[in-house]
Amino acid sequence: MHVSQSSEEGSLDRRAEQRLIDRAKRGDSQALRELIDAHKDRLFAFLWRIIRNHHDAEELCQEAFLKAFSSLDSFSSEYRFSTWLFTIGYRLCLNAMRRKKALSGEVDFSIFSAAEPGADEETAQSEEARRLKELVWGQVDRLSPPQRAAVVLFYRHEQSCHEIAQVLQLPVATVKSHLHRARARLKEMLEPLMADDARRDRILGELAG
Amino acid sequence: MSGLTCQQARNLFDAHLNRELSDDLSTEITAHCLRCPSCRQELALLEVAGQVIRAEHDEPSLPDDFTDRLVACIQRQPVAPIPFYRRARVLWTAGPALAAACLLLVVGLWPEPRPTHVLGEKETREQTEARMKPIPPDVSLDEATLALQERFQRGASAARNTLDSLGEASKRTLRATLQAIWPETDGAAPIMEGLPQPADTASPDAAMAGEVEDL
Ligand SMILES: [Zn+2]
Repeated sequence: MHVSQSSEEGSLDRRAEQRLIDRAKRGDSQALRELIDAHKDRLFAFLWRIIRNHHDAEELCQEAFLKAFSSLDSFSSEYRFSTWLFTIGYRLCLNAMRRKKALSGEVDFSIFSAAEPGADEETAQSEEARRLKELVWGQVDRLSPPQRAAVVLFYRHEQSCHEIAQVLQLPVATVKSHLHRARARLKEMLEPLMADDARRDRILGELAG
Repeated sequence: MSGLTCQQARNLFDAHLNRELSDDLSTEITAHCLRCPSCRQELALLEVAGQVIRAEHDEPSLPDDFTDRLVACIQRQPVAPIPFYRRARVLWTAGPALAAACLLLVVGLWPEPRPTHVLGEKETREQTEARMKPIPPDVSLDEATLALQERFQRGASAARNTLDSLGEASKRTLRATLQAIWPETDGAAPIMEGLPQPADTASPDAAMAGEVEDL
C-alpha cells in the first residue's frame, strides 16, 4: 500500500519541524537550510507539474520559500509547514500563469509538447509501459490547473482531500469533484486501449446490469 | 446480509479511491469486484492513472546550489522579489493594446502626492526619476512591501478619480492588467473596487479551467 500521510515529509516529524521553524524565526541559517532541504524537491516537482516549465518552476519555488520565510510569524502550527508552503507556491503559480496569459494573450501551447527532461530516459521499461506513462501524463497536462493540481497532490504527493483543499484553497467537495472528473477523463482516454475481449466483457456486464 | 449491488458499489468508487471508506466498506467493494467483471474493470480503469502518477520519478531536479543561493538571498534581506518598477516595465512591453491601462497605472503608481494629476499628462524628468527610484537595498522585505503598498495607495486615489472618464472596455482591460501585474498583494484593491468584474472571470479558477479545457 501507499505510505501513510504522517511519514510523507521524509525525515521531519512535526515536533522537529516546529523546533526548526522557531529557530528559523530567529534567523538561524542552519534551520532555514534544513527546512529548505526537507521541502524543496517536492515543492519543485509539484510546481513543475503545474506550470510545465523548468525555469519558471525554479523561480516560483524560490519565491514561495522567500514568501513563506518572510511571513513565518503568521504561520500557524495547526498546519503542516509543507501544506502552507504548497499553498503559497500554488497561488504564485496561478498568478504566474495568469500573468503570462495576460501578456501573451493566449495559452502557452509549449506545455503540451512533453519534451522536458525525463521524457526519453527510460531504460528498463517495455514499450507498452512507456506508452502508458506518456498517455497518462499527456492527459494530466490537459486537465485544468486545479484538476491537475488535485491529481498530482493526491497521487504523487499522497495528500488527503482535506490537505489538498487547504493547498488549493477550495472547499473539500470541490476538490473531490476535481478528482472525480479527472479520473473520469483519464479513464475515458484509457478505454480505447483495452483489449477487445475485455471491452466486450465489460459491455456485456453493463447490459446485464 | 447480501453484498453490494453494482450501483451501490459504483456509488462508492470515489470515496474508495479517495481512501475515505471504512475498512469494512472497502472490503465490500473488493468482494463485489471479485464476482463482477464489469465493476472490476471499471475500478481498474479508474485506478490505472493513479498508479502511473504515483510511480512517477522522472521529474527534473533543482540545481545543486539552490539551497545555498536561497539562504544567501534570505540573509541579505532583499527587497521585494519583483520591485514595482520592474512590473511596470513588463507592462510597457506588453503592446499597444494595454497602452491606456499603462497610462492610468503610471498615475496610480505615482510616488508623490499628486491629487490633481490628469490622465495623459506628460511627466517631468524629476517625476520619472521619483517614480522609478528603487527601494534602497538595505531595507527588510517587510519594509519594502509596506513602502510599495504605500506608494501605490497614495497614487490610487488620484487614479480612481480618472476612472470615470474611461469606457467600459478600458475598465475591463485595466482590471485584467492590474490583476496580472499586481496579483499577490492587496495593493490594487482600492482601484479594483471601482472597476467592473468581467463576467467570464468571476472566479479565477473557473476561468482558468475554461481556458485549458476548451483546447
Ligand atoms: Zn458490479
